[in-house]
Amino acid sequence: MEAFTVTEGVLQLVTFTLGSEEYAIDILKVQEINRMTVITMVPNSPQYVEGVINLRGKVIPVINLRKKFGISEIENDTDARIMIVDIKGITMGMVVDSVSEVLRVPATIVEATPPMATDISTEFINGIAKLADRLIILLDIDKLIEQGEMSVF
Amino acid sequence: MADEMDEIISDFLIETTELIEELSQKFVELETNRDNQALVNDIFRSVHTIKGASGFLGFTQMVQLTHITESVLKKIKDGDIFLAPNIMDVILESIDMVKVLLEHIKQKDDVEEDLTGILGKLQDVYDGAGTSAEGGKSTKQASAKSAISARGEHEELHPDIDTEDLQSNFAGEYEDNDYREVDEAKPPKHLGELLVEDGKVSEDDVEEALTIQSMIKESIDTGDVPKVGEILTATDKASKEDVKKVLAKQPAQSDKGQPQQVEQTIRVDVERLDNVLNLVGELVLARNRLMKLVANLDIKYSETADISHLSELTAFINLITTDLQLAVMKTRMQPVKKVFNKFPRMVRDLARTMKKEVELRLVGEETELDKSIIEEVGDPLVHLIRNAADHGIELPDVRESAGKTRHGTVILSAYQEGNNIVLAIEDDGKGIDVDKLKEKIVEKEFASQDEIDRMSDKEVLDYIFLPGFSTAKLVTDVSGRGVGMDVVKTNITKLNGSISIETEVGQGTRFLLRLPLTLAIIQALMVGVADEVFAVPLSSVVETVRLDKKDIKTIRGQETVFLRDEVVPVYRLANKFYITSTSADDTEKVYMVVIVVNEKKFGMMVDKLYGQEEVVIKSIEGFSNSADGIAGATITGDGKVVLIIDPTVIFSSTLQGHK
Repeated sequence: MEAFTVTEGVLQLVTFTLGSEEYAIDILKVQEINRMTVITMVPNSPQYVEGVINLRGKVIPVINLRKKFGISEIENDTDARIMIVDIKGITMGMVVDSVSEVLRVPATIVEATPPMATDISTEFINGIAKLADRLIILLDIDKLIEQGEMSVF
Repeated sequence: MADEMDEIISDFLIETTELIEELSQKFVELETNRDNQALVNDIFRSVHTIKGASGFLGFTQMVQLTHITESVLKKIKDGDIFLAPNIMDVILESIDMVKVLLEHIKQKDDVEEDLTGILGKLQDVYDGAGTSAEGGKSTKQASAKSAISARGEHEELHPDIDTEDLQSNFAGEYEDNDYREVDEAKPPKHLGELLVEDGKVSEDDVEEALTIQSMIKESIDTGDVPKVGEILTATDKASKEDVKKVLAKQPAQSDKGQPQQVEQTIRVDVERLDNVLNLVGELVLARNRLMKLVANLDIKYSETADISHLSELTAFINLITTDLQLAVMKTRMQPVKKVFNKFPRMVRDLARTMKKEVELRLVGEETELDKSIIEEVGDPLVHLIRNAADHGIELPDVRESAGKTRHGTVILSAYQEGNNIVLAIEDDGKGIDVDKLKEKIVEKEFASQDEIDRMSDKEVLDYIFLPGFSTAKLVTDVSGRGVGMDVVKTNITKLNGSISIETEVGQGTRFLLRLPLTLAIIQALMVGVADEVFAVPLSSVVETVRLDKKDIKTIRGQETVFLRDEVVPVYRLANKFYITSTSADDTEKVYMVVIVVNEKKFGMMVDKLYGQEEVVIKSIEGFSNSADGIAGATITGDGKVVLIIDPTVIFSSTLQGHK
C-alpha cells in the first residue's frame, strides 16, 4: 500500500474511468485536473505517449492510460480529462475518459489483486477497493515509469 | 548564529576555490618564469590568506597544510630553495590536497585526510634548504621590537603578530609577516619598492617595516602613523639620506594614499539569475504575442488614432524587451578564463609524464560566454587539449630531427565571431595524416575503399568523431581508447555548436569549436509538416528553397535536387517522423530547408514554412532521449507547444549511411 497514504485508517482517492472500469489514485499524487487541450505530438516516442502540453509555461508530457494499459482506443469526448500528477518528481499528464469523484474509503475494504481481474496487467495495481455496489482498482502510478528510469520517453 | 557561520564558511569556500584556481595557473607560470618576484609574492599571499581564514574558522588540517606550504614558499621567495620541477610537484600536490580538504569542508563530512605523506614531503623540501630562515626570523623579531621601542611607544603590541597561528593551535617553528596588511598599506609601499630597486634595503626589511607600520596603525586609530621611511631609518635599515633621495623620486600624490577602490561587484545566487532569465523569456513570448495581435488590429482598424498609438507603444516595448533580454543575458556571461585556468596545470603534468616539452599559450581569456556553456565546454576542451599534447606534439628528439623547436606549443584561444564564440585548439605537432586515416577507416570497416576514394579530406577527417575510432597506435594513460572525440562531438552538438578540423602533416592540427553566445533564446525557423509545427534552429539552416516536384530526381534510390550546380540529397521530415504528409503526393510545389552538417549540405522537405521567430528553449519534463533529435520545446505566442528539432541529429544516421 506504499503508493497510498493512509490517515487514521482512511484512504483518500481520486477516481476516474477508463472504458468500463473505475480506477483510483492517491489524492496526494494529483496536482490538478484539466480539460483536454491541444496536445503536441512528439515524434518517435513510445506509442502511449500522447505528446506534450503547455502547463502555464512548463512543457510536460502527457500519456494516454488507455494506450498504456492496452485498452482499445476511443475518440476523446467532452468528459475526457488530463489529470496532472507527480510521478517520482516528474510532473506529467494522464488522459482519462472521465474523472468521477474524490472518495474516502476505509483501508479495510481494500483487497489484494485477484489474478487477471481486469484488462490491465497486474503490475500497476495495488489492490481493489470493494464498495457496496462497485469495485475500484487502485493504481500504483509510480510504476508507470520504468524502474530505475527517470524519464517518460 | 549557525546561519551566519554557514554564510561565512560558504564565502570562505568560494573565495578559497577561486584562489586555488588562480594558484594552479600561477605556479605553472612561475615555473617558466622563476625570477618573477611579484608572482611569488602573489602566490605567497594567496596561500597565506587561505591559512589565515582557515585558522580563524578552525579548519586545523587546512592550517597544518597551508602553513608548511607557506613556509616552503617563503624559502623559495628568499631564494633559499631553487624551484626545481620535483619541488614544484610537491607544492602542486599540496595544492591538490588543499582542494580535497576544501571539498570535505563543503560536504561537511568531517572526514580527516591522512596528511602525513604530503606533510613529510613538504618538510623534506623545507629541511633540504637548511634552517637558516629560523635564525633570520628571530633577529627580525628582535629588530621589530627595537623598532618600536626606538620610537618609545606601543611596545606592548608586538605579541599580536602571531595571533592567527595561536588560534589554529598549530605549534609552528616558523613565523611570518602578515601580507594582507601589506595590501592595505599600498601607497607607502612605493617608497619601499624604490628603496629595494636602488639596492638600499632588502625586500624583507621593507615588509617588516610595513608590518610594524600596520600594527601601529591598528592600535592608534588616528592619523599619526609613521612613514615607512621613518621606520626604516629608525631600525637602521636605511640611512636618512637614502630615504630622502628616494622620496624625491617618488611622485608626490602617492604619499597621501589613494582613495580605496570600492568593490564594484556583488555575488548573486545563480538560481536568482536563472529565475530572472526565465521571466525575461516569458516576457519575450508575451511581447511576440502582443506584436502579432497589434499587427492584426493595425490591418483591421488602421484609421483609428488609438491603434497607431498602440503600435508605437508596442514598438517601444519591443525595443526595451530586446535590450532587457540582452542585459540579463550579459549578467550570466563569464570570461572563458574560468575554464582555461585549469589547463596550464594539466598540460604541465601531461608533459612531465610523457617526457615532452609542451607550452600552452592562452589567448583571449577575457572572451565571455554564457555560464551554462562555460560549464559544458570544459570536458570537450580537456579531451582536445589532451589529444593535442598526447597525439599532436612529438617527443623533443623527434621534433628536433624534423627541424622544429624542441618544445611544442599548444595555443588555446577564444574570440567572438558574430553571434558565435569560437574556441580554437591549435598545436604545432605532427598533424593528422589523412592517407593513414583512410587506411584505418577501411581497416576498421567504417567505410569501403571505394567510398573512401570518393571522399574529400574534410569528410575523411570527420571519421575521428565516430565512436570507437582511435588512431593512436598506443593506448596511453592519456588518450587513445577511442572514446573522447565522439564525446567531444556530442557535447558540442548538444550546445548547438559545431566543430571542425584543419590539419597539415608535419605542421600541426587545429580544432575549431563554434558555440552560440547563449543557450536560452535562439532564432528558429518555423516549419510545418501536415498539421504539426516544428522549430528548426536557424544556426543550422543555410537557406530555404521552393521546389517543383519534378525537379526532384532519384539517384540510386536517394531523392536529390540540383541546387545551383550542386547535388543535394533530399530527405522528408514527414517520413522521418512517421507523419502522413499532405505534400507527399498531390501538390506540385514543395518547400525545402537546406541544412549543413559537417560542411555537407542536405535538404529537408517540409509542407509549409511559417517564418522566423525568436524562441525560448524549454526543457521537456521527464524527457531524456535527445538522440531523437528533439532539442527541446518552446511555447508560441498563442500558447501552443512547438518542438524544437535538431535536423543534424535527426538525419545523422541517414547521412552516415550515404557516406
